[in-house]
Amino acid sequence: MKINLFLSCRHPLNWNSLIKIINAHKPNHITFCHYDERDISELDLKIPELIIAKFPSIEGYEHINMKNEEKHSSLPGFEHRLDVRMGASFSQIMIKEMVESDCKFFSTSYDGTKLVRLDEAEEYEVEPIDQLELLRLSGVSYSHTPVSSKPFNFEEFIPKIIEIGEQANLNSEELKSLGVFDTKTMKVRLTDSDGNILDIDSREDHGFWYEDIVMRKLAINFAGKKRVFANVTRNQKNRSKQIRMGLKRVLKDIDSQTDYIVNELSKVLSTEVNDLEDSEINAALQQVSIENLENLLDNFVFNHIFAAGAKNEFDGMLVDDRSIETIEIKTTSPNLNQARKLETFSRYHSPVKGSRMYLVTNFITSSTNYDKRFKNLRRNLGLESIDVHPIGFDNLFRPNQ
Amino acid sequence: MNRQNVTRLIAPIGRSRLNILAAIERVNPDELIAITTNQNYKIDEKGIKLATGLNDMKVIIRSLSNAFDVECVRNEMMAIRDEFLPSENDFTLISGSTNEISFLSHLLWPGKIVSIKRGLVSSIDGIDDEHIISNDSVLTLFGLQDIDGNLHRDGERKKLFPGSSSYYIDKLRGKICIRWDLHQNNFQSSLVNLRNHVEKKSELFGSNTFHHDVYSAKGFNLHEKIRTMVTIISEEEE
Repeated sequence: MKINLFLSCRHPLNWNSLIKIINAHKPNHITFCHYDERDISELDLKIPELIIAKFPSIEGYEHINMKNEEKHSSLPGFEHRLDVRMGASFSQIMIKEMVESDCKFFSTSYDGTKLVRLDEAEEYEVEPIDQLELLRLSGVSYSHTPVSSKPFNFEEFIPKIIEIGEQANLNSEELKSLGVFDTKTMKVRLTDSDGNILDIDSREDHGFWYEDIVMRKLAINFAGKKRVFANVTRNQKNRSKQIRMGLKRVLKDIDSQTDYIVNELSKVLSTEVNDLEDSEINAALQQVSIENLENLLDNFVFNHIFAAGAKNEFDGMLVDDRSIETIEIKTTSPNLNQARKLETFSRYHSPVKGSRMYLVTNFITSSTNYDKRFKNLRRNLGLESIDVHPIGFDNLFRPNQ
Repeated sequence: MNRQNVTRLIAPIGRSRLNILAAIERVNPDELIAITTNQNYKIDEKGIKLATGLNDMKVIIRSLSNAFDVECVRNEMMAIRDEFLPSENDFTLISGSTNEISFLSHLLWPGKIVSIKRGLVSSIDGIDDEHIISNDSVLTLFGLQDIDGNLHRDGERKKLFPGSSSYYIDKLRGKICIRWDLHQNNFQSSLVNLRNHVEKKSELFGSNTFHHDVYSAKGFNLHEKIRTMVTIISEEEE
């Protein structure tokens, strides 16, 4: 039997919840019921093509404004359902009265994995929708780099390239002596005795080296259970805007760019890019064709610029069928604001809220000052109910490895 | 009293609690079946009686073990319905808790519907009535207390909204209004507190419970999710 699904809703629609509900019911028709002072015909209420394509069962949908006593289409032969997951209770009761006895009542679980009948003791398991696809369908653009879960024998290198004190620090010279250095990426490719490879950033004064080893270690630890992604950015809606913004940010922060990036940019912009004044940066941006920049720059530099122009970023995420866990990696003393940033990202910017958040530092948990250093942070995380878990270097790597 | 004549209010109690006070004032029930959840800040019979002043009202409290597990909510609600079967003089509050709990309350006790609209206006059968609730009642029901003009949770020394200046209860809007004074010396720290606590406390106490009036000489941005909970009042810098 074909299904007509009634939903109480308000513009703008919450696509994240809506997608989970549609995935649970697979309806053939949807009646969106508004209770709105506005003229809803003037609102953008179209279901995006991406969602329609994902759910081919949807043959049609309508929006009615119950405030104006508009009625739903008569759909003979359809099973009528009301899902109360989204919307307002009073309008759901109005829908119940409108449809009268011929309606079944449901609620889709918050994580979208269960459909529960409210008027009968019935419930159905739902094949969950992929969390990253949910992000994409919700209209949020993300970039991320999958991290290989292939094994790597860290113990062959950690004792040589990492110096342990209160913190774990990189010995760049040692790292370079053990692998092959790439001047473009500033990474050193290490190959273990089994032939497995790992690229590690060689710069001691940035945390990139730690991101490289932590994310690979996590990918190995969660192999087969969670997918692991690094360099996660939430992109701007407008691609050109993101490229322009990224180029501007990179030019403003030119001192921390590698020689390779500086040279590439100088060639493309036909000017010396070191120490540009704000007005000179703006002039350079006016002269370059943003749309064409992708063709002019090599992939490595372009991707660097594109990431720099994103709305915001975090270092990694762990994804499984039910959740996204977010990760921030620090090689400086973590403070409350960093934990807040991680939580704020999860709270406001991710439609799929990170169920857990990890603040991975290179501090050694067994060092004398560790507890003291993290005491205030832990207390404040507790006071502010921030569910961020600090993790130290030795929680992931045994220092004697 | 004959059970047939007992006026009963079935009231889901979520995070926002002004609704329940208005519903009780409107219905004046002999018996209250309050359905709360283990995720909510604790509520007890004494608190309800103190807040409403209705000492003779019989108060029954049932707590659902997990508000976010729909199957568990349905099963436990059905068990409560079996314990307290629907009767003729039932009134059901439908604007007190999660969608599932409110909708199930209506399904399981299909009595007269009590809804609470903006401004603490109760509505039964289309007839509206405005309610004005005393400050003490509001604070008692939320488990809050006034210390030197600021809100604190009962027994806690730290302010509920660190960095705020004072509060008042806007009885017309049915909200607790928090005043923030941002000036040069405290601008950054107060703004951080504002950004951090507005949404968090609305999650704990309900999204319609607090409104924030922020007096500031400098402009600032807030995330869209909390913008509607905040009014920024521009002040001239001295």
